[in-house]
Amino acid sequence: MRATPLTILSPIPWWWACWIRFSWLFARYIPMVTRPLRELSFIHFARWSIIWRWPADRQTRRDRAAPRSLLFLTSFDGSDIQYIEAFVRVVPKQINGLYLFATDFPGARRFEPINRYIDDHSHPVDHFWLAHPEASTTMVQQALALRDAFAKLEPSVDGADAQTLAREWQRFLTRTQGLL
Amino acid sequence: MTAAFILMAPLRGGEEDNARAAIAALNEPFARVPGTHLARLQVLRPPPRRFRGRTRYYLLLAADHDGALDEWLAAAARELDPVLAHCAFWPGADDVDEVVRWAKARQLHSGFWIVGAPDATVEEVGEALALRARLTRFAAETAGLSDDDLHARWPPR
Repeated sequence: MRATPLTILSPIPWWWACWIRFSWLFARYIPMVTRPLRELSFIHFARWSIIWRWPADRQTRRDRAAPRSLLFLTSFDGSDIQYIEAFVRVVPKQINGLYLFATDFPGARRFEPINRYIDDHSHPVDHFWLAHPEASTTMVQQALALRDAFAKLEPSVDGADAQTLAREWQRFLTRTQGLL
Repeated sequence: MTAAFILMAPLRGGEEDNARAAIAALNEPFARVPGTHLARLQVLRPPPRRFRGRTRYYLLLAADHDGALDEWLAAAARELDPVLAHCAFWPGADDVDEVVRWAKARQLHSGFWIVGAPDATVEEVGEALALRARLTRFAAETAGLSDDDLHARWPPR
């Protein structure tokens, strides 16, 4: 399944930018905030960044027309509609915590308004590259878990007779059937 | 450990179409930048504030990569030079120190993030996916075999 990239730029007032930066100091250590996001297993990655100044380089003349913004970069398995639906359903509080006072943000409770907001604020990605495009996030997580399980199996069957190998292999398959 | 790099660099005036054309002409550049998990390149223009005129165009380069940023930047700069050449004050890909200085001055830092597999390198992910395919095939091929036949075919290849 091909991953879909999304880039969203949301203008925010200065005081909301300060709040977001302050909240990030704690949010990343609070499981109640991070766990539901991590459980959205179709996310390859999602990153948020505040753009305080355009451009960031202070030696370059400031782009005064460009507003202070919250940049959201993500890529995920499946369509953007599924992605937005999942966000609205699973993590509306977290989304409101980031976007509540972003300019024109309609709130994260209903799909249609937020879908329109994302349409209006997303910017097309000209080139996107993934090291393992054939693998979904779930496949990668399963493969890494399987690798660890197999690393534990290998020493126990090294030089084993046929019966021991067959028994251990069956146990391994039973334990890891959800990963294969 | 996967690290992120986000660059937002202003383009030289009127260079946005040329930058887009240069991006379109690239041939899988990140495949030749070791340790790149995923990456994106795009030309974007922030929406203007009211009564402040027009905004400039910017190049956004964002990547998740393994290893040290400076090494990744040096390799990426070589591959992306035709695109980065449209950015203001681009020093050229030859002087690595200048590239790193230029890029870090325009770098954005991510404040909050979610990463699918944060503890694995690109190489480890590739090996794990290959092992998973091998084990799946081996399990299918050896289903119902006697213990001796299973033993004869071990290890999974």
